[in-house]
Amino acid sequence: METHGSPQHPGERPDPREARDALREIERASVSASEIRTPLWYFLALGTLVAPVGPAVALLPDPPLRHVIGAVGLVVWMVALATLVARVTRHMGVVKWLTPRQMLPPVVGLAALTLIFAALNLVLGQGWILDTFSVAVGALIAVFGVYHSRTAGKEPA
Amino acid sequence: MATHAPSDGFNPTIHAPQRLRICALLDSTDQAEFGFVQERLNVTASVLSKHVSVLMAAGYVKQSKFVRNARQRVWLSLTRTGRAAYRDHVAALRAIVDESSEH
Repeated sequence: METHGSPQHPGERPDPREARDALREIERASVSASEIRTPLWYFLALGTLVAPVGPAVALLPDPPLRHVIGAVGLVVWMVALATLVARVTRHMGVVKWLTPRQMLPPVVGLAALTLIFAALNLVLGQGWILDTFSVAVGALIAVFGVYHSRTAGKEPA
Repeated sequence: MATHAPSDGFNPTIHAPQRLRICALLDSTDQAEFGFVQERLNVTASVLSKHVSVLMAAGYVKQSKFVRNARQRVWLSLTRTGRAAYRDHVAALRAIVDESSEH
């Protein structure tokens, strides 16, 4: 239903009451969009996809087989990632990036993990430390997913 | 009602209620599927199509079509011009409300 005045007077400004009604409609539509949250299964699947990268790379055989298996693995991994993103996009019906406020926790977490693993590598100097970095990142993504699914929609977009 | 000044951001094309809601939804997302917008606005596909056509003709909305499993999906998004025009329009509406509360 066209309610706030324009159809009859397409070139005219609304009066304050009509403008207020229009702003209320805008607010309603914006809230409706901000309630959409990325489903938890997406973060769990993404974490599962990221976690084995480090150990898998560590297990690669010596060249030249390393390059071949690495290239094939990379292609398979990218296809899996693209499929996951396409599936969540279809499921949600929208493409919507996280806001800077929503991005802050995972960015801080990733920075902290990077520092911890870099320090451990420096002090202990063992190969497994960097190999397991992706496992920690995968776990971080999953934890963020749980956090996001509980907080998204409750905070200003 | 007063006639609007062309430069104040008020936009009659966007101001029609359904078009305003379409723009508000699209402004809150990067892209939205046609069916999603239809569901949120609770309108028929033909009504939504009509309003989207008006917004597309004005250069405010663009659509991308993808076919998957023999089913076409249409994704809508605001163009850069459309986003700017929508935000100017919202600012104009706020100005109208603010002017009235000052008097």
